[in-house]
Amino acid sequence: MSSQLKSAIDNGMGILNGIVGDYLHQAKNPLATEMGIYLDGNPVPLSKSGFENHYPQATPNLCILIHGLTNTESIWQFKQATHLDYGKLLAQDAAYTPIYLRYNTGLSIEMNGRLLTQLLETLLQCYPTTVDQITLMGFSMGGLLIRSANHLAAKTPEHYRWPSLVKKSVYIGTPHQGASLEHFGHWVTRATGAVPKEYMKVISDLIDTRSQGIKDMRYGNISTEADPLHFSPHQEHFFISGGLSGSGNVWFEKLLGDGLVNQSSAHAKQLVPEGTKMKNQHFEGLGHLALARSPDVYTQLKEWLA
Amino acid sequence: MSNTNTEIAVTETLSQDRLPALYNKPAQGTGALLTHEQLGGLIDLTDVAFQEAVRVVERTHRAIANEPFEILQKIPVTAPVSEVVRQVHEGVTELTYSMVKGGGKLATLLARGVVNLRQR
Repeated sequence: MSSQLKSAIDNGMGILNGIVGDYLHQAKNPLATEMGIYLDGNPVPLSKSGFENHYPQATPNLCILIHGLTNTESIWQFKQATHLDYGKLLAQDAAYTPIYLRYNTGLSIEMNGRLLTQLLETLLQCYPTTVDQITLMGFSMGGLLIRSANHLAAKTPEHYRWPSLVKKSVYIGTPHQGASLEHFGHWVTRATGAVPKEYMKVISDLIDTRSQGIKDMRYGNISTEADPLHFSPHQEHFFISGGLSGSGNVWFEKLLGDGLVNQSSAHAKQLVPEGTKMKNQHFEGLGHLALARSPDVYTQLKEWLA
Repeated sequence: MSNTNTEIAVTETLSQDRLPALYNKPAQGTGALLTHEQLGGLIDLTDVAFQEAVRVVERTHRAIANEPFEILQKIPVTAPVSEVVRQVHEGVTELTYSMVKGGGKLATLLARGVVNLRQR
């Protein structure tokens, strides 16, 4: 069996789940991805022995890497060196143990956040050695999952050990204040639906056939609650954005950003409360996907996390 | 994996009808390109996508066809004839799309049969 074919199928599944994952989940279709931890494209059983077998050299510092919409954990692989990614480099340079999450990105962010709270707690029970520190790293939608899980865990802190172990959270190209492309998708749906012609309504319904996960990206919704906890005061938060405008034109940047998310949204400028420990960095010339696998971004991550 | 007290508390607090079981269940995709179940899921999804696509085409067809019929209906000279034509058109449309949808269902059944045979 070709590993390239398996990888292509996995990536196809990621795209399928991103677009109609909520439907697949509701219909109990076996193509729906279940949240899990993956290593080299294979699932790691959530058991003590499973972790002992897969992580024989587990270290006390964990880095959980959470991919974005329509992705799988392969999004982290460097284009020119697919055997490398931020997790593996952090393992080499700073003795982190990288843990790669795979999940159904078509589900609502809140639901995935709920699953993540459970999974992180289970992970602590299965992990072969004592955990000193957890770093959460989310790309695009993955960053919203981090915030959603933190918000949900903060509501019943007596049930969770993991939030007290998370010292640093990294958000890479995360649309904290919404993604412009989904705003556009929503606008097109409404505009076509408003035309008083039945066939335009058909087109509108067709465009509207996208998952709840995609729709949540419009405003960066992490919860259905009115005022969720946006950023845990006990953690240090790191924001990374990309930009394709080149010219530094403000309007162009606002519209285009990294192709999907603009700098203001990625740095969560309107959401971070005063006094929050945070740092941010902008990478002009890097598009959205490139942010997940760039040597330049890694240099910055190493400075922050190592 | 054993169910410790902490796990039970966590699961109870967060339990929702549709939460996939994270416990005592290995994740899917262990080795094979597509499992038998996933292949079945792919066939189901293809069927749903096909039926939806036919429904979209049918809705669009009917919406566009209704426009001239509505205009002809307002003209006294053409109204009676157009009504007859409309009904014939409706009948043929209904029959055609039902056959296409039925063909899709048949193909799904066949595909499922082949997959089940291979499984044995």
